[in-house]
This record gives sequence, structure tokens and C-alpha cells, in this order.
Amino acid sequence: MLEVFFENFFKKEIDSEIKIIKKCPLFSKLTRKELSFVKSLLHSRIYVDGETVFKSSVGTGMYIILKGEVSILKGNPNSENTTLISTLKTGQFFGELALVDKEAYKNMFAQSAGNSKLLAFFQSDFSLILDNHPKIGVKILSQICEILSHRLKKAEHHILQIDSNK
Amino acid sequence: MTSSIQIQKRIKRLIFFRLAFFSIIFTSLIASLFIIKGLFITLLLAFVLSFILNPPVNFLSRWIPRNYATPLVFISFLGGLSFLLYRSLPLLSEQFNKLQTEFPNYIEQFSILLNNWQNHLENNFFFLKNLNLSTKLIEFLSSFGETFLQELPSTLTQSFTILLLAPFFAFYITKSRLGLIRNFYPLVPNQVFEMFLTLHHKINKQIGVFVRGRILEACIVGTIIGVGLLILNFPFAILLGIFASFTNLIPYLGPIIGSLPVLLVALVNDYEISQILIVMGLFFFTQVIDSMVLVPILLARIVNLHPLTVIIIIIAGAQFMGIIGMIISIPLVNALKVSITAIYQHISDNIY
Repeated sequence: MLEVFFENFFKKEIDSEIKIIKKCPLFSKLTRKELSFVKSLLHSRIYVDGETVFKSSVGTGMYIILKGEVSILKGNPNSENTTLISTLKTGQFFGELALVDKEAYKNMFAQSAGNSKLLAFFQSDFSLILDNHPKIGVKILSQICEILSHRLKKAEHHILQIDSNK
Repeated sequence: MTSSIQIQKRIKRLIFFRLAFFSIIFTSLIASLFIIKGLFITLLLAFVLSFILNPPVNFLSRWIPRNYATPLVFISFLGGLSFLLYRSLPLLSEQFNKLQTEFPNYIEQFSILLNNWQNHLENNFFFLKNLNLSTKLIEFLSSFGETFLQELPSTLTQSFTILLLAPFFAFYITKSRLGLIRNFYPLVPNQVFEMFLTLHHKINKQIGVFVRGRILEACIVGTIIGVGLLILNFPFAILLGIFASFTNLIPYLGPIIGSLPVLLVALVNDYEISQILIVMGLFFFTQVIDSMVLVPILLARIVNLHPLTVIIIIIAGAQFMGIIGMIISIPLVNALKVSITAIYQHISDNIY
């Protein structure tokens, strides 16, 4: 009873969340049913202005921005010596490589710029999907591979450019 | 500059309040477990049940929704269990009745036996003369029996509610995919959330393997001993097998405790030495299978506790909760060890 009421009342919000999740390349291959399953494993977290979202040493998850902005910085959150790499807006995501490599974001951290609401997807939940729902897990994994391959191509392109400039 | 320092201060204060709030709720939840009588055991049994039934539910939920898979698995498991109990009830009650009628006889025989031993010992070892071994032992046994009988009614009423409530708890724990604790996730502060989640998964997995392995091990050991005793035509074979399977849950000491009543029955019934040796050989054989085959296959991945630690924990568990404490204290401490190791590793990872 309560569930029906809740779903009707907040359906718009839930639908918009699912739309944002669907836009993330990691989950773009999933069907609607699979998406709602994955959504049940995501954690909605609220961060205040200036709060650290993840530090390099503990990052084992990826985040999708539902509301607000997040800045990605280089350096240590406790020191003054930090350089801004980029600022991400609603609908964008970061930390996707931490799902497969714990040290993917060494020496980087993310900080909430203004209050923000993020959806977090952690490595332990991902391995749970891989264990219990391999079909969904493989779809997500293949998307991660695709992202990696794109980055590799980009890096190769850069190297070739540097080589040709020499 | 000042504004950024102010922001940092504000965040620190916020973090402090969140952590304080979270720890207050967490500790009060744990405290309520111990304050509300019987809740601890009920919840523990429910968790054990859900650990057993989680893999089949997970497996089935690949094809059918979890909301249907859970009742299906629960109904077939509990139905199968009650059917088994129903079919074996006549045999069990027969053995139980026999035990009840013959129990005083056993005590009497045992005291005679003890007296004989005492005489024998005192004749050979003069320093034992003043110790009055048999009276002390009988006193101990009768006092133990008395407290056991005194506690029995309250234990039985309690265990009835536990037996009724535990499957309900287990059903909802299993149905909610990741258990009860996931409902508390929104309360966990951001700073410790990732650690909390990782630890929860890790501990869940380890304890699941441990619980399933231990129970399967106990079942196999109990079956081997029960069937072996049946083949040897030993009295109370099935009851003794069940008893051995329960005590086998206690590491190191369990198998010895499990074999004691068998030895007693054999001695009282005037079994010959060769027959007693055969029965003890059965126990030895079971232990060899247990430690050489079952433990490496079922429990190899679990952090092992040092034998001395195990004995200390068992003594402490027995002091707090009696026989139940002896059985559950080891898995609890094992869970604690897994958690502490994981927390320590997390902290040391964070420093470097």
C-alpha cells in the first residue's frame, strides 16, 4: 500500500534518476528491468559544499552526479597544493575505472562543489552482480572494456602526435 | 582564504555530528540485542538460516523475481525438514523414551563403575586416597544435571518462540537481497561509507562460507557416526549421532565431548574391550575424514584461530551462555577477527 503510494508520488523523480543512469555508458546496454535491478544496488549519497567524495587511497567506486557539481582535483585533500583537473555537472560520472582497478586514480580526489547528490556504485556491489547475475555483469564489464579501449586509442594517438612533432 | 577555512571547519563539525549520531544508533542497536531476552539467539538463528538458504535463492533469482524465489525456497526447505522430522519422529521418540527409562539405571551403573575404579586407583596410587574422586565426580554430575533440569523449562519455552520467530526473521533477511544491514546504509556517514560497505560484503561472504561449511561438516560427521553405530548395532545410535553432530560444531573439544556418552553407554552395558575399541575406532575414523577431507574442502578459506584461543573462547562462551555459548562463540569471534583484520587493513591502506 505504502509502496504504491510512494511510487506514484515519487515516480517522476525515480524515472529521472533511471534516465540519468541510462545515460551513463556503463549501463547503456541494460534493459529496463536490469536497470531497475542495478538501481537497487546504487547508493544515493548527499555531500555538502567542499566535502571530499573520494580519496585516491580508498576509491573503489564510481559516482553518477544526480544534482550539483563535483570537481576532480590532483593532489591531497589535506594540503593546499591542489590543481583542478575538471568540474563535472549533473548527469556526468567519474571513478568508473576504480571498479576494476583500485589504483586507477592515484594522487587524485573528488570534492563536492556546492551541495550535491550522487549515486554511488561500488566495487563490492559490482562483484555481487558478477557473482549472482553474470548476464548483467558481463554487459557492464564489456562497457568498461570499451571505455578503456577508447582511452587507449586516444593515448596512442597522443603518443603518435608527440612522435611526429619530434 | 578565511571562507575556505570556515568551510573546512563546518565540514569537520558536520562529520563529527554524523559520526556521533551513527555510533549512538549503532551501539544502541547492539545493546538492544543483549537487553531484549532471546532476541540475540533468535536473530543469530535467523542469520544462520538465511546464510544457508541465500545461495539457492540467489541462484533461482536469476530466472524468477526474488520475491517469488524466496518463499519457494523457504517453503520447500522448511517443508522438507518437517517431513523428515515427521518420518523420523517414531524412531527418535522410541530411542528417547528408552533413554528416559534407562537413565537412572545408567547413573547407578556409572557410580558403581566409578567406585570400582576408585578402589582400583587408590590401591595402586596411595596419594589419591584422601581425594574421594567418585563422590566429587558424582556431586559434580548431579549438580550439573540439576541445573540442566532447572533450566530446561525456561529454555524450552524460549526455544519455542525462537523456533517460531527465527524463520520469519530469516525470510525477510533473505528476501531483502542484501540483508537487514542494508537498511542502515543511509545512516552511515560519507567518510566511512565505503569502508562500511566493503567490510559488510567481505564479512558477509566469509561468514556465509563459514556457516555453510560448518553445518555441512556437522551433518556429514553426524551421519557417518549415526550410520556407523547403527551398523554396529549400538543402543541409541541415532541420538548419539545427532549429539555428536552438534558437539562437532565446537572445535578441538567437540569430538571428545561427542564421544563421551558413547563411551559411557558402552562401559555401562559391559562391552568388551575389543568392541569399545571398534566404536572408538569409528569416532577416530570420522575425525580423520573430518580433518583430512571435510575441513580442507569446506573451510580452507577461513582464517583459523589458534587452538589456545579457541579453548579460551569456549570457556568464556560457556560461562556466558552455557552450551549454546560454546557452539556460537567460535563463529562470533571468527566474524570479529575478520572484521578487525579488514578494518586494520583499511586503516593501514589509508596511511600509505
